[in-house]
Amino acid sequence: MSIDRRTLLLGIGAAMTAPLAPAFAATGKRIVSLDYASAETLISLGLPPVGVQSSDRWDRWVVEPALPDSVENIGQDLVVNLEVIAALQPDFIITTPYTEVLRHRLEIIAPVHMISVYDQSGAPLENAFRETLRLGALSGIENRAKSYLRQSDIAFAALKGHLASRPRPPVTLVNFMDDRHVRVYGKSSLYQDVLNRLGLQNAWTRPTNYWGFATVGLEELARHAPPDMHLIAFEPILDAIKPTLASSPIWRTMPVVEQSNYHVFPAVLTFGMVPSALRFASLLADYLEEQTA
Amino acid sequence: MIAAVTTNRAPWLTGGLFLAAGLLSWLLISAYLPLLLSHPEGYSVERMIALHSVLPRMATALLCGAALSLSGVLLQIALRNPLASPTTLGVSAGAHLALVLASLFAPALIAFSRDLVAGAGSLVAASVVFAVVSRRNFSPVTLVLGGLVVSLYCGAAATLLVLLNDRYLVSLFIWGAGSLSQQDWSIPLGLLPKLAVLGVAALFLVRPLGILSIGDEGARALGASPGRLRFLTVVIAIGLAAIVTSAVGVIGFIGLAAPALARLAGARTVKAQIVWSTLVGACLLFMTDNAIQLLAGPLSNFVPTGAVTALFGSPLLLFLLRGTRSLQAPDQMPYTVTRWSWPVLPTASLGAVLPLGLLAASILFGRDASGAWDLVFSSSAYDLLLELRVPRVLSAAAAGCLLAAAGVLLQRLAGNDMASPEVLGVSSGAMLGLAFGVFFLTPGQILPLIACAAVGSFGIMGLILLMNRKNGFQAERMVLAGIAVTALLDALIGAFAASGDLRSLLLLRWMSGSTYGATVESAALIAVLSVLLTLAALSFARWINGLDLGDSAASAIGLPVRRARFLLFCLAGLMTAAATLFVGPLSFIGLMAPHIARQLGFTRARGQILVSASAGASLMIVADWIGRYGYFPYEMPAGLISALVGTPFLMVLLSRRV
Repeated sequence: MSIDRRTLLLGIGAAMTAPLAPAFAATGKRIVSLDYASAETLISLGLPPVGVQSSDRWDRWVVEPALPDSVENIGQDLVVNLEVIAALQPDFIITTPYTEVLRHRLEIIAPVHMISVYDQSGAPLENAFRETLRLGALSGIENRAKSYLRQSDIAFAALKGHLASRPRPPVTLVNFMDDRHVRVYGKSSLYQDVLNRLGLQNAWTRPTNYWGFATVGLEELARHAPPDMHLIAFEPILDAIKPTLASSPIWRTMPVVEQSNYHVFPAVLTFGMVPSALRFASLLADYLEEQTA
Repeated sequence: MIAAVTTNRAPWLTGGLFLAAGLLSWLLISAYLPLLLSHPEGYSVERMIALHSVLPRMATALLCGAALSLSGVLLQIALRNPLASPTTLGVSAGAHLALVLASLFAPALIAFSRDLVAGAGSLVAASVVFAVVSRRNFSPVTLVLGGLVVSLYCGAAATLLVLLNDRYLVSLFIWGAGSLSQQDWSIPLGLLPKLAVLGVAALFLVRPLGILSIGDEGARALGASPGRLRFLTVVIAIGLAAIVTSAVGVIGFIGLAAPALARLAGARTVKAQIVWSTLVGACLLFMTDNAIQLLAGPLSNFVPTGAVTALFGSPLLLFLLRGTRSLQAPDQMPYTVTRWSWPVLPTASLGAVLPLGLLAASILFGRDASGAWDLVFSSSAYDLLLELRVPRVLSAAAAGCLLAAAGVLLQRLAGNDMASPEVLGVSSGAMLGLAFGVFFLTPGQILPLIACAAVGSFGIMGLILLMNRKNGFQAERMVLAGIAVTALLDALIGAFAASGDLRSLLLLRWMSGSTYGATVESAALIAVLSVLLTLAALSFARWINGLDLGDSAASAIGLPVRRARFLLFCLAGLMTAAATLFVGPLSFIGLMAPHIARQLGFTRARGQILVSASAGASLMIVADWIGRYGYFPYEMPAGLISALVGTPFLMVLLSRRV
């Protein structure tokens, strides 16, 4: 069962990138992305951008899909280096609502398109599907995008079916901000939508902000933790945090920690699109499977 | 002694505060009490929270409040300055910057001893302030100005580090804003012995400091050594503040407020001041923190306590300034003092040529996409590069020129060479307007944001003018009012950033000041403005020179003193507002450039404005160029670069003067 699933997930990646990359490298559009999310989508569609913001920090925040060496660093998202973008001579530039303030500066260089995953609708995964299609249409690889999304749907359904016969404890998903505070994800987050897709419960049902998270102290987390929940923290976690946690009574006596239901996942792009959703879904399915094996 | 005359009502004040704080803490803790008293079977999250979060937080608030207030009152007594405190002397900000630096570049130092790192930072910051101020008459207001400039500088450096390190450093915001939330007893239990040792040491100082209060001469006659005693007291005070900052972050203004309250309540003798300030401070922070938890608790959003104390602390600073008329600095700075006297003609022509040369060079030389050094015309897309580069260079030059001219106006109006538009509050007003725009308007449009900034800067300027109407626009008070607004802004931004709202990063960008947003139109606009406003300043030269003579002499020669002050202040405010939109609220150009001009021998208003405008433009062009290519392809904000490079230079300049 598990082998089937891995093959399926790997299959999406392999089917999309391997045969297509060379084909598009020659004829594809030259795209600059001010956002990791659109960049990871383009890489998964087999048409990597020519430049992305803070490319040297990709491995800390995204990890997979891997960033090809050919992608240039255009500086930090809110102050991307316009001279570098101009030198890359892109066909178009991708912004987000967050970086949309730069539109009037970027339009001097090339047409600008905004890819919006986080908006009032509070359904980032649904938006990510829609925007992936748009990205495909803009880049002239609409069919690629359609088949990628079709295969993603199949992968989500397969993971859900696989988990259906197993115990499905509620999970809480956090990033550590420091040794006392976490960012906990709930309603309106990409993770919440993935949990819904997989038929899993989020233990954090309290209010979250526009981007689907709330910054809370550890004690708040402890207060709202159901006894059977699993707590998952994503990398990166600052080195200084781990020893402090180990000595905190509130942390140590939390049932989730005492029962070893606490686990650290590698980094997954928090504000990502379909590739990050899939990456998170597969990490989570693997984890739950190990727990009940 | 005077103390016998007034009754000391400080015990009543302390008791009242304690009762209020106790009531609030009862509201917090009462729900937990049955849990704490009984021994429930199994795991109870509420009990763990009460034992390891609520109670240690209360203990920490009491300890930190006491330590900061003790530190404040010791500084105030030793320096004979009712405005001294860990916040106003830059001690806390120095500790903060040292910890940020160490956690980035030498984590081993932090692992070895957080307290020592914080202590070293505090000592350096305090030494810089003292070194600068000791050469002049040590007036209370000047000392605080120096201290707050160092605070702003440390804050700017910490901000730049955060910007360059992305979201990785979000935790430093929370910590920097002073969060008292606790997970266990390690912090209060760790604080207790360290603070106790210093507290006992302070007790031994009560008697000698009492002797000192009769005057240095009398103290010497009784065998005390005033210099050594003051030094020891200040070191203990700095130690207390550094230990607190290292444990919980910057909690501003408690060390200023508690001694002030104790004195207002009637604590007069050294002993009464020290004892009651400490107790008042403990209760004050305890009460504030309980109130914050009660108000913010249900929202499950945490509010950093340090941000809240800064919110109520900065208005208090203003209030203290109003009340203490005797503080009026006796110093009209001797504006005629010059160190070198350079030949006028060559210097003036260099002043005209230098900015133009730098302007051209900074447009010509750059780097290509791969980072190699490059002449602009060697690129195939050179027309596009020019369209991107020229507006930035031009607005940098114009903003530098405007800030420099505004600096000349303010320093001469204030008769104080620590005055500058950065600390005027007008730039902070612009930032407050921007913050409003970013959080409440639809994203993605630049024009409404600029409008918000303009409304904000004029709003704050109007407010400060209104508050100072009665005392004839003494710019020294105005500058301190501005600093209070700046502290308020820092607190607000810190709170936004700590809550993890992504828009705060956008705001930080604006605050750090980059010419990044410049367009052809905006650059043309600010270039024209810079020429017009500088010409306006030049046309007021006669007034400026007249005001230097002192108000009565100026009236005698027929100068409309109040109207002149008002108009010149408005002009400086307008210049600052325009420049802030391009280089942010902190560049210190307005502080540096007028000094450069004066050191070169240009002391008359007209010459000083012209030379300083040229120097300001040159500095800003260089800072902008470094910002564009120093950390390629990342952008560094020109405003912060000039502040970081310029301030040490300024400090050296200031301490040379006798």
